[in-house]
Amino acid sequence: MSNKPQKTESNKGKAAKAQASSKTASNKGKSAQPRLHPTAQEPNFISEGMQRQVSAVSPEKKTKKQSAEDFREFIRSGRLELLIGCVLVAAILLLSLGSILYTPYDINFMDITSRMAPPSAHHLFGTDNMGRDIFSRAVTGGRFTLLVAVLTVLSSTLIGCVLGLFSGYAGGIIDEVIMRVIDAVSSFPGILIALIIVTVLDLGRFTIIIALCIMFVPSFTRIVRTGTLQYKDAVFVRSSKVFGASDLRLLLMHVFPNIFPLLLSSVIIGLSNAILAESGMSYLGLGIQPPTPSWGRMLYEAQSIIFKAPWYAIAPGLMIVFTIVGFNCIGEGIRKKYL
Amino acid sequence: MKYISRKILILIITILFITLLTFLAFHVLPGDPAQLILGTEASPEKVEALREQLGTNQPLLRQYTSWISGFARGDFGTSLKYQKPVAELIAGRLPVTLLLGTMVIVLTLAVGIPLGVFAARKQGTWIEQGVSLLTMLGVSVPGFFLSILFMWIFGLVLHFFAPGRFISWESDPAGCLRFMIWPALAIAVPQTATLVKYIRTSMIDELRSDYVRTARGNGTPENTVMYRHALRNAIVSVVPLIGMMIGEIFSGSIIVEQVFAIPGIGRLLVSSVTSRDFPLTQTLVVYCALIIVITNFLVDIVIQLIDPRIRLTE
Repeated sequence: MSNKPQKTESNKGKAAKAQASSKTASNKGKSAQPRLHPTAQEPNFISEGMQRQVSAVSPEKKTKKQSAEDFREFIRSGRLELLIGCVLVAAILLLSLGSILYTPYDINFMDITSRMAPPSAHHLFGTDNMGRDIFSRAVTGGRFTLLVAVLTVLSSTLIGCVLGLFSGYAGGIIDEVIMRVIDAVSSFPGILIALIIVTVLDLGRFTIIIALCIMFVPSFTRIVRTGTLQYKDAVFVRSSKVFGASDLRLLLMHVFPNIFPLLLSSVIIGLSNAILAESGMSYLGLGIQPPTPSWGRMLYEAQSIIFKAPWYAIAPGLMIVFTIVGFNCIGEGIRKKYL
Repeated sequence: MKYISRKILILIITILFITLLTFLAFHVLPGDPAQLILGTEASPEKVEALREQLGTNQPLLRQYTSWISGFARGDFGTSLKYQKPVAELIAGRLPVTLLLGTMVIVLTLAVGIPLGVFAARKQGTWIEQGVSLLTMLGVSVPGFFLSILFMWIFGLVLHFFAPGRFISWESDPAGCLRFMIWPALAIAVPQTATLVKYIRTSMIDELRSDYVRTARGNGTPENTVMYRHALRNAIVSVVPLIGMMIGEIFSGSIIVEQVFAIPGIGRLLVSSVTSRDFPLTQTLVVYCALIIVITNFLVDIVIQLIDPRIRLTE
């Protein structure tokens, strides 16, 4: 620390010019800085520049240890997971939303001359048994799968919030009745509920949303109810009650914001569960109805020609896995970082 | 005893709710089941005849009570598609699904617990990171995608089994197991990943606790600390998860049975849904939910026997 002032002085101009670039990080004058301003260094602290910068003052051994420690901290704080998750989800979103504007081929265009063609420059992921381009179908299918997942989770979160806040805040017999019904619904294994709903409602294009929504309501209701119980007697809630705040205001402005972080991470993990459930149902032929493509349906079609065209299963399957890994990473990251 | 009787009471209420919800779902939501089964083009006489057969022309309460009492007597109704008693259909397929489920549970526990403990032991090392990466992947792979991959790699390429050719236990027990191991693995992978995650977290919690420090301070060998002290407590906190898993495993087997063409309950259920065989679906749904609720009840009782502390906190 003692040599810091003069060196900083000599490099003042440079340091001011580009603080965030990794070139500046190798500037010796800033070597003691990370401890003082950890946030300024975060974006690039596993970059090469950081390692060079540390090695400039301390022996080689410590460098390794320190950067390893930083990296471990990076993992422990959940930032790595957030990063991976965001990258994966952004990539999938980009591909799926991009399919509205452009797909290499029309999703229903059948090229009879190149049926079951292996991946090539013309067909990135190959073609299926009817000569349709798998890449185009996979990205378009992603759009519908994601749409169903988002709508499902949003609506079930909304219902779950209303039921949970109401149930937790009201207490007594209302709470008891709501919770018993919720218990009964959740004692059916997830996919069974979806199967019931699909059976009794006419199998429309998006019946699956209603089915999955009912499947997800119980967990959100439980989370919100537990949170409500935890905060409804908190001092800050009671004090605003004294000031004459209405019940609705108490719930929405004071109780709900406190539940929000936990709810957010459950919502994101819920998204990945919804994608899993949707593709399962579509695989059974009970989800999104053809000719609308979806990942689950594509896997079903792929299964019958798996020996002749194994790549057909790989494309939608990997898309599902990447999307779910992405959402799970974000959810876990939020949980680690903020809870 | 008070604990158990309370649990039994809750169990009965839950079962009643399950039957009621299922009944309402099948009799109120669709409007007229007979019409729905036959479609809109069916002649009125046919619809009327089916109504008579299903009993849906009677008042709702009567329908519910007769259905419930039939259930209690073991009379589950008759399947429309197969024209056979539902009980008979279930009896033929239940052993297959039970075998599959048992294999999944055995696999999950046999791999999940050691791996979880291993990850907890190597806390803060690259091995632990590797294991968490694996669990993250394991949780994210849908069972049916794994099944398709297994069918392709192990079935069609490596010829470990003949895909789609189910071998029954009666004809060849060893062949049956050799076939069933793949669907069982496909269901077990996500379950194992979840279990590893929980075991690891609860092991780490236990290893941080006072009694472990005391034991170590007394010079207890590390292995004893690990397995006699920490693991035993960690497992207790994981047992409720096993209860939940049974539902998950069942959900998984519904789809995986479809992929591997295994004639089990799941396959029967899906075919009853697609062929609009209302009586069969309705009974199967309740039947499956009951199995799960009752196993969960048994798990609760077992936990309480293993760890009396739970009884005190409730």
